[in-house]
Amino acid sequence: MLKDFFQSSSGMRFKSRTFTTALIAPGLFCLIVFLAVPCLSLIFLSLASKGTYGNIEWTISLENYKRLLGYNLFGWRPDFFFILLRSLREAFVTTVVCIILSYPLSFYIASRKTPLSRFVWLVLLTVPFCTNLVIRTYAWQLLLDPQSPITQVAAFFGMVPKGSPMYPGAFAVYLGMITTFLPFMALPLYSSIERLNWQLPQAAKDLYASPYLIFKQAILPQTIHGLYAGIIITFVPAMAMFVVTDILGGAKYMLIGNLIQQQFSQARDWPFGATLSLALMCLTLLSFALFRTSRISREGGSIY
Amino acid sequence: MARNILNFVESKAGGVLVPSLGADPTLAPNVNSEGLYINGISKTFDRKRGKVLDKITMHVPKDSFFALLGPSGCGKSTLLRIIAGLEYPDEGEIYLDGKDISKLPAQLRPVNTVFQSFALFPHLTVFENIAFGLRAQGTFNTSSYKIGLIVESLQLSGLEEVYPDQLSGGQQQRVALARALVNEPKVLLLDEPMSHLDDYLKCKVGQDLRDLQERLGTIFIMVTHDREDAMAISNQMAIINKGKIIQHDKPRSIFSKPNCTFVAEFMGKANIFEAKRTDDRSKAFLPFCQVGFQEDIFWDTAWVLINPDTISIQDPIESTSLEGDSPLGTVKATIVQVRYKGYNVELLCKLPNLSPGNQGHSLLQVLTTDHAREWKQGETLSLQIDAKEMVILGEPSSHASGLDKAQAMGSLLI
Repeated sequence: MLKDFFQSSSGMRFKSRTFTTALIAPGLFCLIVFLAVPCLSLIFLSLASKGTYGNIEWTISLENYKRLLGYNLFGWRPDFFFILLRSLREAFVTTVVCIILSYPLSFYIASRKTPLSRFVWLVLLTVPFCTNLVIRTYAWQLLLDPQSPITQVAAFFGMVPKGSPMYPGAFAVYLGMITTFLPFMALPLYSSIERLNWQLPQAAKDLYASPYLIFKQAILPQTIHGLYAGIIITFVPAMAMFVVTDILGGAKYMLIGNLIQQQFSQARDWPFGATLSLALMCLTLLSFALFRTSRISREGGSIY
Repeated sequence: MARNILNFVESKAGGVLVPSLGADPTLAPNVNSEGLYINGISKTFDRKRGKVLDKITMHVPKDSFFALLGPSGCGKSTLLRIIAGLEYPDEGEIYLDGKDISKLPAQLRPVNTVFQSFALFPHLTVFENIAFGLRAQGTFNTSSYKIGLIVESLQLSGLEEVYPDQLSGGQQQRVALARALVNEPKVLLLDEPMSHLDDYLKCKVGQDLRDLQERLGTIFIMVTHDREDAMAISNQMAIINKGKIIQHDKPRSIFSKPNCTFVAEFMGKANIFEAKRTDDRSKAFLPFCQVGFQEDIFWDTAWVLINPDTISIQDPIESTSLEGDSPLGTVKATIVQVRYKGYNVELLCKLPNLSPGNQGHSLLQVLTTDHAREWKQGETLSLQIDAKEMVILGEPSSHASGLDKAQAMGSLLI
């Protein structure tokens, strides 16, 4: 009797375990094949070096890392550091501006009364995705052209010299980046604002809180998860972005994304490209580690 | 009797309903009265749905524990939110001790709220939740000692560093109460304070709230849809329906003398019947018997309430001897159901001459404290109805909506 009981129960457990394994197997397979293997090969590749004709020579050395730190034939130059710092700044500013724009936008959409009008607004927010990023970015070239009304208005106020376009330059890059990444920030924020418990801001108001305090203590803690999701899916791709900078930034405006792309295409230096990619990954992970331990994150993190 | 009719006439005329506390009319409350005076507040959210609040005027005196009672959707919560400053009225003003506070934002009103779901900040500890108001006002440094006092008096000691989600419902409510009271408001608003508590806690929290109110002297205004909670705790009560105050009085008066069928039904009353005046000015027909009044009556038809504890049961032997022409107010009824309710016994009786098409209730509810007698189903009783104790609720035409409900309830009782 007792033996039967145990056998059947262990049989059940076995069955359920194989079932679970079967369920996660496809996902696990994809992760291993498309994430772990490429990462490992990047590490190996970064240790190899470029051959004379752009081929890969498997002589293991730390030459690429030395180069990354700025040492080359002519001594030490910190070019790559500057490019990395600039990419970090670019991604940071894009993310912050997207957060500032997304809060009012999401509140506005969430406060629409009928489900239809909310749906229409969400469609308007996501409809640019239907167009290819490259084409969308080229469209900005047209809009920032000397003949476009936007540029003419800017020229009228003396923001740009008459008859010159508003690109290439930092302004055009930021504009392109922010318009590209705004939906990535607004959609997760919207989903958490839609479920907001409005009694908390009201309670804060009832307890004499200023608008800043209401946001900090009653709205931010409730939307922190949407904010996290938004920051991750905005900051990471923004760090690696090269299309927008390529089209709107001009030749002098180089980010790490452009550099990596160059190594793999024009320069045909795959090992150094791999090294730069690893550097980018480490930098991104490091930024998140810093963010997780920051004050805003701790205040939000203790909620749930 | 005469007083009842007067009340009835007054409310029909649409006059301002002030508590009939027997006060001198020259001392009628006005905008300068102490306490909270609400003057003609109206509010509309959606044109199609009409007014949520319709010219509400009432006075909440100092030191009162006031209950706003009404069915869901009657506008009572909106009124509370307007007093708190979380919503602004379309018209009308709110005066607190003679000062108009209706234009002030919630942050500047000496009014605090205990929300229905408590609305505690989940990421702050109990201590920080209670300290929130003081910190926001910038008085934390000088008055943080108050937190200790309030924590002590609401039995929250030892829970200061705990987060709200680790607390029980009762504890969460005490934190919400402490968080509001630490600011020493002049008015404390309680939105359905009992709805999240089980019966045992309800009783205890009710006592505590009343105790606290008496000790602090703050005006407490409670919104509830539960008449028993309202009657047990409050010392002033207003019944609201469809954005209007229907009756405003002491709980005991509202219970024993409702002024219309709606209030009577809402207070859980049975025994609502239609009465028709006879040619004789002092007599009226109920559907099952004739009753005689001591004075002349002024209505032709009216809804009347017979409180079940005012019906006396006559001795069975005596009743059998009175065959034939029955005297005024006497009716023979058959017990359909006996319900033992602890201190008293509820008898549901079937009445003669009460056709199913008759509006109002179809069974007579009788309450008796006679436990010695064995009440049997099917037994016929002789009942005496005292016209002096009857409550006139109003003319049928003026309370059409109340009638539907009365009918529905009547059919439930069968």
